[in-house]
Formats: sequence, C-alpha cells, structure tokens
Amino acid sequence: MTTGLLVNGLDLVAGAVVRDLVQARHSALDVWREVRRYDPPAQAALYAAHQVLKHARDPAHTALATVAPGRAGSPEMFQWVRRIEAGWGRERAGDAIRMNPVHTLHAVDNLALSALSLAIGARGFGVGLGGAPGQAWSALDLLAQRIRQGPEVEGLVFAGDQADAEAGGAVCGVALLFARGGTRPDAVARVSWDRSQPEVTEPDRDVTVGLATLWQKVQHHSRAPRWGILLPPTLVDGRTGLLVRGELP
Amino acid sequence: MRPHRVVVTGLGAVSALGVGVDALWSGLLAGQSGLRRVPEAVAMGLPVTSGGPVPITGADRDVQLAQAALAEARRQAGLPPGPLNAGFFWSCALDTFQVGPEGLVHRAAGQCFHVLAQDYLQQHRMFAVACASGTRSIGEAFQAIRRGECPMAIAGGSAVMLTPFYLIGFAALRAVALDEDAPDPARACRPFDAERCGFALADGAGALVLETPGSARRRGATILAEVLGLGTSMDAYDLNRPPEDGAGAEACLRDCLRDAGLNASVVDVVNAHGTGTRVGDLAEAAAIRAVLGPEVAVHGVKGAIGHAMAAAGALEAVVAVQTVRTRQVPPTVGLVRPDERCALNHVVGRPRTWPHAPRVVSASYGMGGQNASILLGKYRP
Repeated sequence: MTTGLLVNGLDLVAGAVVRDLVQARHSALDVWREVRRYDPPAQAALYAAHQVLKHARDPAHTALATVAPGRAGSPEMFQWVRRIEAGWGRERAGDAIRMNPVHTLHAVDNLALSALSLAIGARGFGVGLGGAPGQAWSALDLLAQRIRQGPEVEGLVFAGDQADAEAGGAVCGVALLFARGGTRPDAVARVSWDRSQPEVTEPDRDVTVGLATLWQKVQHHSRAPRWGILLPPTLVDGRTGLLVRGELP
Repeated sequence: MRPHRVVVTGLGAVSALGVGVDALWSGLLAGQSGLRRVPEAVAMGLPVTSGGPVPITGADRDVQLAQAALAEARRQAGLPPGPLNAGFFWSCALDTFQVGPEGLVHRAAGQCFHVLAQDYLQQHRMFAVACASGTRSIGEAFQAIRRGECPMAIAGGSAVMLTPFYLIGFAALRAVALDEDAPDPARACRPFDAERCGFALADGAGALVLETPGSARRRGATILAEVLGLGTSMDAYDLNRPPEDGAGAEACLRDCLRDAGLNASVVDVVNAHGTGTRVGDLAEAAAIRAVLGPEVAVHGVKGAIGHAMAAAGALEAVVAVQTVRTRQVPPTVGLVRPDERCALNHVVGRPRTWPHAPRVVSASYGMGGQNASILLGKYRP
C-alpha cells in the first residue's frame, strides 16, 4: 500500500542513459548481437532498456511504452533513399537496385518496441509513440495509467533519438523503470507529476532529452527526503511544463 | 466514477477509392478496386508497380490528405474549423521521402503530426505501432474519454506509403505483391484467397470524431455508432511475420471482448486486417475461428484500397461505423477462391445486408507483432 505524501505516486526503480554506442557495445556484447542491425536511436534505446530491465522483477510481464526511434533512420538507409528517390519515374532506374531489407527496418517507427518485446517475451501491454514533441511524456502517462490499474505492476518507458540520421550525429537512449507505488522499497524515489499552466514555446526535437534530464536530476536529489523538479515546456511538449515531485520510498 | 460511454459523431476518409467517405463506401459496396499501376514505378522498372494512390499530390501530401479527412470528419460532427477543445490521437506512419524541384524532401512523421495537432487544445498523442497505429489511436482516444480525461477527441491516422523507397523496401521484406505474381494491378491484393501473394502499398487517411453521448446531445450532433472496447497485444514472435497459429491476434481479440465486458456471441462482423500475405491471413483466420467462431461474417478492404499502414486501421474503423449505420457489409475485393486454411464466413462478391445493426470488430495486426482491435456497435441510450 502506498504511504507518504504521494498517494498516487509511482516507484521509480532504476534508470539509464546511453550516449555512446561503442561503449555500450563493449559493456553488453549479448545486447549488441541482438541490436546491431538496427538504426542508432533504436540501438541506444535498447541498450538503455536492457540495462534497466535487470532491475525488473518479471521482465516478460513488464508494461512497455516507448518512443524509439524518435527520428528514425541511419546513414545506410539514407543512401538508399537518395539513390531510389532520384530514380523515381526515370527509365529503368530501378534495375540495379538490390536493397538490403535490414535497412527498410531503419524507417520503422515501432522497431525498438517490437525488438524488446521479442527479446524478453513480453506479450501484454506495449505501446509505441511517434517522434513528435511531448510523446515521451505521453508514453509515461500511458504507462503510469497502466501500472496503477492494469495487471502489470511494473512498467518501462524507453526512448531513443538522434540529431541527424543521415550524417550519423549524436544519439541518446534513455530508459526508466517504474513500479506501482509502494511495491518497491528499494526504489530510488517515489514520484508523481503534474502539468503546469500552458506556456507556448519551441519544444526540443530530441524526444529523449526530457526523460534524460529527469533521471539526471532525480539522481542528484536521491538522498533528499522530499524534492521537486520543474521541467520547462521546452523539455516537455512546448505547451506545458512538468512539475515532478519525489520522496524516499 | 462510472466510466463514460463513447460515441462516434464524425467520419472522414481519403483512400484509393477517392476523397470522402461516400467515395470509399460506394466503391466498396460496388466491389471496386482503387488499386492501379503507378506509372513512375513502371518506368523505373520496379518489381512492384501496383498501389493505391489518392487524388492528392504534392510534396506536402502527408499533411494535405490528413487535413482533408480531418475536415470532413469535423464537418459531419458539426465542428467548425479552428481551435477545438479536444484531444488529438493520431498516427502519421513513417517518415516521407519525396523528390521535389529542389531535391529530396524528407519529412519526419513527427513533424507532420506537430503540424496537424496545432488545432487541438487537449492531449496530443501520436501512436507508432506499425499497421495497428490507426486502430490503436482510436482505441486510446476511446479509453481517454471513457476515463474522463477529455470530453472529445479526434482520432485516426494518415500515411504516405506510395513512394519508391517504400515500394522497394517492402518488396525486399517480401511483404508486397510483386508484379510477376500479381499481373492485374486491380487484383494485386487478394485477402484470404488461395492465390494471395502480399499487399499493395497505398496512401490514405481516416478520421473519427469521438465524444461522450452527453457532449453529442448538447451540440445536436448525430450519433453514428458507439465504441465498446479496445484490445491490444504483442506477438513477441518475429519482427516480420506473426505466428501461424495467430496466438497474438487471438489474445488481442480476447482482450477487446474483455474490455467491452461482452462475450464472443455478440459479434456479428469482423472487418479483418486481411493484408493478403501468406502467413498473415492464416494467422488472422486462426484467431477469428478460435475467438469468434467460424460463423462470424468476415470482410476486408485492402483488396480495394491497398494497405495504408498507419491509416489502414482508421479507414477500416470508418468502414466499420458505416457497417453499423447501414447494416451493410461490403464484399472482400480480390477474394475469389478462399484458401481452405483460411476457412471463414467470408463476404464475397456482393454486399451482405444484416437484419439489425451489427456489432463489428475492426482489427489490425502490425509488423513486429503489434496488435489492436476495437469493437463498435449501435448506440442504445
């Protein structure tokens, strides 16, 4: 049973942020074998998810909510896109094209969700959200709804994004594991969140930045009995900020 | 708090059968196919040249065709253009790549969503669960209204899939019907047929206005149907194909009935996912037989309008609402000789008229094993 200030709070059990795919590969070769065919944001999200799922009591029955990839694609995929699209309608331009089907997957918006469900045998609640502003928080809201009321007691939100899919720019993956409030005394914190008053601004296009910032700040506050973190609209959806409150479980 | 009931008061559609719900519905009842050769694909010598184009062109057709469907749905619901105090639950499929005069135009699906969402003042939720996205968007909007999170929502999906990258990419995944296997473009997609060989990619958009019955009554809107349940599941089997026994689809249908608090005997019609792929149709048929029995009437629309991915479930929901309203079930275009292993009570050749407003399951089973189904019926106060 939940006690304390946050009667509707969730237990935040663990989190991970992955920004270096080479380092992630060396520290988790088994995961690398599974994800190496995917585009960088999906890989980053999956590395982060696997790190965090080690803390789940029953990974196969963990609810999953994801934005991965936020902005899809890879340099290899864009090479195909440029070559193929340039030939549209041109006589016999398709004759020599033998596309690697793996690179079709790099355009797929639910790749990381499906790959993770396959890896851990999760057949229950899973939802993928697209790479529009605020969708990481939509994922978190849907996940919270589910683990408060649904059959799943624990839920994982994970996301992956990149700055420039064609050039192969910076990439980030983030994963946070939550549990129904009061079920994990070993949690980092018990948290709840509220939307602030509307305040329109330009949102950050990287869907991972808000979740990664939250995890960083939670770690900073983790020994405090009670704390609050205000995430501005630019890190949420460009329309509302988010006030996240936490306490020791 | 008692959950709110949720009704449909507006429909919009853009499909290979034309712009508007009337074009879609009359074409389906007449057994027409909107699939045709795509001249640029023929010139290019692609192995796949059939598809379901829509009569909206231009580099921003991802936004345009969605806006056309949204405007139609809002018009029917009596909602004027402009900002609306409603949630926006939508799927924009995959990124679009098109060649314009200035070179390659790449638009991320999230950008398209961001443009479309600006008019809606409540939640913005963009669903990305492959071919199940449209159905999931509608189902999640239903859930949000039912929980009292918003009074009204616009839900559905749009997709631009008929571009050379996706034609070649999905051919490489062996999902689409190659010309050598389907020489007649109008019959490229043959759901549940013994000679089926894959689907035909299509562009499209489908939109629904959902609200509580009280909201509809206060506004004087006509109630078209009621949403009764949402089911979801994941296959956890393979990234590119479902298990032949249809276990994931079966779990999804059972979840939908459980959510609606109804048993299988109340379902009259299934608007099937019916992609016309060898394994996909087998799996779906097995799931329908296991959950709803062999007698439930089954039809699908992808033989007529192709597979518009994220828009597919939304267009199928529009068709399901029309079925509830008119009691007519359109035939499955492209289905001539049903595969014995897909034995079901198929609606073939001509529409079937129901003696009462039927309850209809509209189901979508997405690539990567993402499944969603919704149940619709007549609203009875």
